[in-house]
Amino acid sequence: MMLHPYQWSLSLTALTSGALGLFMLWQNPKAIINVTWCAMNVAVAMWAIGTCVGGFTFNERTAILWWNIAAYGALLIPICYAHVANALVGRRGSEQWMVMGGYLLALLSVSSLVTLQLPKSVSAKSVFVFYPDADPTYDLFVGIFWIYALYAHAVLVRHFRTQLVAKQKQIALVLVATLLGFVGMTPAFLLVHGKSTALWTMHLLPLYTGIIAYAIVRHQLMDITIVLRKSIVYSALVALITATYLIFVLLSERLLQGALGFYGWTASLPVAFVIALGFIPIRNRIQALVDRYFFKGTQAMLAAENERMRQELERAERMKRVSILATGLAHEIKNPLSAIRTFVAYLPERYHDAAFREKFTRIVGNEVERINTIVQQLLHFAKPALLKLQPTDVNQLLSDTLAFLTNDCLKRRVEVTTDLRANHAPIPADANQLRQVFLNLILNSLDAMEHGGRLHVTSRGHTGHLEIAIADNGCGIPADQLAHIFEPFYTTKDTGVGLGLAIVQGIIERHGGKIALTSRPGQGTTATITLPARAPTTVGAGGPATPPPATAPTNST
Amino acid sequence: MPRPRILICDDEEGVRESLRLILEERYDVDVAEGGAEAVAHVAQQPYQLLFLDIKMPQMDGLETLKRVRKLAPTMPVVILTAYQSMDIAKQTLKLGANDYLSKPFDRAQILDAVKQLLACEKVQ
Repeated sequence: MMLHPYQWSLSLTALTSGALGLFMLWQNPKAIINVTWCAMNVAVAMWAIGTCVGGFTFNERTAILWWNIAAYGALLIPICYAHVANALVGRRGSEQWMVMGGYLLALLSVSSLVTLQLPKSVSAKSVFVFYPDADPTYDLFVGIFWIYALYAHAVLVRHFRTQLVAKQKQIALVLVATLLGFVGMTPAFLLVHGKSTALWTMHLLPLYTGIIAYAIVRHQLMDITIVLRKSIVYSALVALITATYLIFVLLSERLLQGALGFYGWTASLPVAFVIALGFIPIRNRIQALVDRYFFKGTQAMLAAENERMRQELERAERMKRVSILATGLAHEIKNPLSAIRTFVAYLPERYHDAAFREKFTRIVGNEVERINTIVQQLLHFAKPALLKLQPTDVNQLLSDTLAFLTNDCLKRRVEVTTDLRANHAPIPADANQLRQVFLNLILNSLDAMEHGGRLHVTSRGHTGHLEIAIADNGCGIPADQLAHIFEPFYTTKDTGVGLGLAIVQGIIERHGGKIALTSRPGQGTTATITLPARAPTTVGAGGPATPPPATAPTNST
Repeated sequence: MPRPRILICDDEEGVRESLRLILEERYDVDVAEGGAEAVAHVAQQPYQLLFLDIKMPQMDGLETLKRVRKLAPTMPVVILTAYQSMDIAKQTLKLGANDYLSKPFDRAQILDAVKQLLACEKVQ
């Protein structure tokens, strides 16, 4: 029996689509995309096979039966496609009401199809021996088909922009493939009304499966990469080995048997030995080739995607830091601004009042100076001075700083003990900036010991690094505040703007070191600094230190 | 008729003096540099209004508000805050503050707030 060209296209579509659908389900029956896509492909196969057989069968009754199968398949295709589209863009739950409604409709239609007979009658149309006759119920089904097809396309198009680049490529391929599928099916619907236009587009149908298969292999449309990779590698390997073996055996049979009287199996033994030896290298070679031609693009794409996501995260983190800075800055500057604004507003009317002028000069002067200090500190934090690395004796620097603060310690009744055992040779450091670090940390400790206490400063030398600890037995810092302690403008003290520790962290990090604060409320705080004994690889002004993830400062006025 | 008496409580001299400058033309003004001083003032004599800063050393504005409310349950209290935070504003209103103003304030804002709150107090 000769098959009509349309039958070739339809049966090819039915076979490839059904087989691919079932294969994908078999590979990963737990993934929703695989399940829905299998259902859709089975529906495509139902329609294609129904049309293929119903259109060219021998009697009318059989034709009506097969055309009913085709109609039911056609109804299911766009409903399943809508489900695939939702799964592809990650829509779930209540967003799926349209899909659920479709399945309910399909369920109700099973009984309707049996009783209503859709189509009720068939007749010869165009190249088809039997083709459904026009019927209002059939038109209704076609209407539903298009509503769901358009809905699914709309879902994919609407969510296209918000998807990652890799997913966008998958969606684009699915859109093209299904569009071709629907274009291929349209003349089939028109022919019901006797319009035999562009029937050739049915030949586009096998392309649908081809494009989807391409999307699966090149763009990981569904989660079967490893299985697919291994399948391709081993299929190629088996084909190569079989071909090699056969060629050798056939050749040896012809040559050796004719000339020397050997039988083929004797020759096949060394060939099998050679193949066994070459199995692993050949497999590796094929795997490399498969990776290069099928998966290289994908890996490069994933790397690009990762890079893009990393940059987005960095940008978000930067924006958060700017927001913390801006909030802190606004908070610190609004207080002096209140005073300046009020005094300036009164200046014209109270200019001749000597007492007012005295207050104006003092208060406005102080507040302006305060804003200047805040801005200076902010600049120091945001754009720190370049490190001038020189061999620095850290023990000496600690002793000098403590000597400088002797009076403050006495005033606060703070007993100072030291245990400076870092026996390192001088390390490369910016002595001025490091002095500021020690000064800030010791002053913080003094502030925490309002009613006196003990300050213990230690240094230890380790292989490759130096450890300095400044410990007090002051009021300590609660854990929730400790988490924000390095954030700019975050302060637990009554005075100061909260930039001290942020600056300290910046200086230490630019030295290639680390700083950590441990604290127990009521028992004290210890700041531990680790400094490398060798110069950091990059020395420069750098940017501001990265505060740990945090929300806006919690202190407020 | 005696002038209404207003208490200003803020640890920052600039803010205290600014409020004094705005208010002293029409009202009798006392200032407190911290929460404890403000509570002592309220305990000594009645005030028709209190301007209270939130962030202060030792006793902060919220604690001061709680203590002051025990001494003067109906005295209007205006909270001063350096940045608009609805959370803090809501918290202070729950604790019995009558209004809040964000810094930097201006003369008209302060005088309007005082006028309104004093009028309310009279009605009550």
